[in-house]
Amino acid sequence: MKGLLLENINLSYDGKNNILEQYSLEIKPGELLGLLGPSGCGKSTTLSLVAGFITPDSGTIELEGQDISNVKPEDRFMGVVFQSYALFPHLTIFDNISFGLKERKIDNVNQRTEEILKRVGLYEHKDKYPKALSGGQQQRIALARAVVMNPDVLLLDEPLSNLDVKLRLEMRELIREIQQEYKITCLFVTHDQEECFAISDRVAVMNKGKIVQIDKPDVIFNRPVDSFVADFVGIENIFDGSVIGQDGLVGIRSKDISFADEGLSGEITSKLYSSGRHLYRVQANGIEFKVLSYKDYGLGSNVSISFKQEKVVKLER
Amino acid sequence: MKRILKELGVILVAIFIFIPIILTVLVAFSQSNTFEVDGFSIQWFVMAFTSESFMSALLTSFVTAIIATILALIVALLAASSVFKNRKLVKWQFLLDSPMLIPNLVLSFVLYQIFVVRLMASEDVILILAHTVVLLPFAFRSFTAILLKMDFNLFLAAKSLGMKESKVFWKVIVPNMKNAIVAIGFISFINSFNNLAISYFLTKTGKMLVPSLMLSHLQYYYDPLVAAISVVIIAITIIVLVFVEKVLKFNLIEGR
Repeated sequence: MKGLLLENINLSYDGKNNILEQYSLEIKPGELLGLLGPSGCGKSTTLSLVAGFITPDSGTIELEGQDISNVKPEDRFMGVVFQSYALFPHLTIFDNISFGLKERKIDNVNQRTEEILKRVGLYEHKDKYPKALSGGQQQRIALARAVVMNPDVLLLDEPLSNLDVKLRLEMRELIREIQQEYKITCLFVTHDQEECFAISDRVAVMNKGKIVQIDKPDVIFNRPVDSFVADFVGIENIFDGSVIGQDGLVGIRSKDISFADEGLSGEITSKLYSSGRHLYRVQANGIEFKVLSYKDYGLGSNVSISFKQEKVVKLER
Repeated sequence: MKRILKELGVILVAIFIFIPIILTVLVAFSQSNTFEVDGFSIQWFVMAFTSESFMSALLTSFVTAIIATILALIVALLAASSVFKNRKLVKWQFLLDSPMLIPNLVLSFVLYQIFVVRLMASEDVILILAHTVVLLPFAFRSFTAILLKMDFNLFLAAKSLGMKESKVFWKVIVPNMKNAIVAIGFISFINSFNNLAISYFLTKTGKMLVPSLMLSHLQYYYDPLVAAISVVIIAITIIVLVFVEKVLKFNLIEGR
């Protein structure tokens, strides 16, 4: 297992606007690090840097203390899984998976290929061509192709985004299981916080080319540092704490606000039915709160809302 | 009613396209010495195949077309591979397109000036180079169009799996363009075989290609020999197409 360290990376595509600026990131040996952020935040760029598809303008990329910043992708040892699968259409499933083993002259090509084919449950499809397989099966083959060479780091670029919901859940479990069985250091890039939190050991939240917060999933989920992260992890209410007697900016999820006999009084301005509950917008103290509740109120009702104090998150900015 | 009209339209167009070809075939097999359809005979074919000038023109045309096609495909693929690897080059595409934008007649004259008048190069070389120049833009444009639609991640995936960049294009990208290469090669071959202007301008020492031979024959004789030659060319085209489609199993006609 190898660790990876990106240090003080600067990168711009046009020489003017920086995609990444003084960017540093550490991936510990054997961990699965989730890189989370909206599109254009630089997370896929980070992955391309590690894979060697692009080189930084300045800064270093170190693998176990060795500088690999200027090593070509074919001379690095990274397994990459793409959103578009990128299986070779002219090769059979077997040849797709053994491609890397043959190119890198690794021994026991047949045995290793068959073993991983059985592991991802697609052994009986080994002589078919990629287009004969479903999207989910193709992505399993793409994962197998990257993992079979036992790469230094496994890089996954939005691997689940082309799959439907049910497959996405199966696939993310498979990724996690295989990553742990083969003990591979792994970088997982996604814009979906739910899937990112589900499989990552640690999560780095990125915004505009910078890492805003890096920590265990539950820490980020419960204690986001700022309003960007809070918004990204689904904290719908972000407002000035003075309303509830606290300093600075605070946030709370809609499910952690409840209707009560006493509290902040307000008026219901909208109501949506959502999975057995109602999602209300409540206008109180000049702020619009989103409240998720089983209680049924009519539009325009006067209500009081109260906050579970321990659920109120204090935000830096 | 609308459907019947539509189908009628298709049938009319088909007739419009095929009648001249059918007429040509009928004339070629005619006994008459003029362009009348009269009786059945293969005398014009016998004449064609025993004519030294036709057989040598056929051979020259064939060899020129094949070599020019192969050269054009290779150069076009190399150029297209650069565009594929560096998409910023797309804006320079027009440079290789230019022979397509200039009328064939003008291009032929330009090539005549360069190759024949100034360089005084050997006729065989001139013919092949000129045909290559004419074929290049179409092949290049087709290849870039196909490549720009291809998933660039295939290229990155192959590199991350340890393949050298110089190998990736030929080992991973080209095998996935096989059908396109054969189809474009086939069209290029026909284009070269058909090209009258180049053949006319650049063959001055009596060496002839099929199109110029046909034209000059028509200028002096009023007989169906040219019809017979046309039928031979049509037959060759069909045989090659069927061979590529059915024997080599490339789906050019039916598509993928």
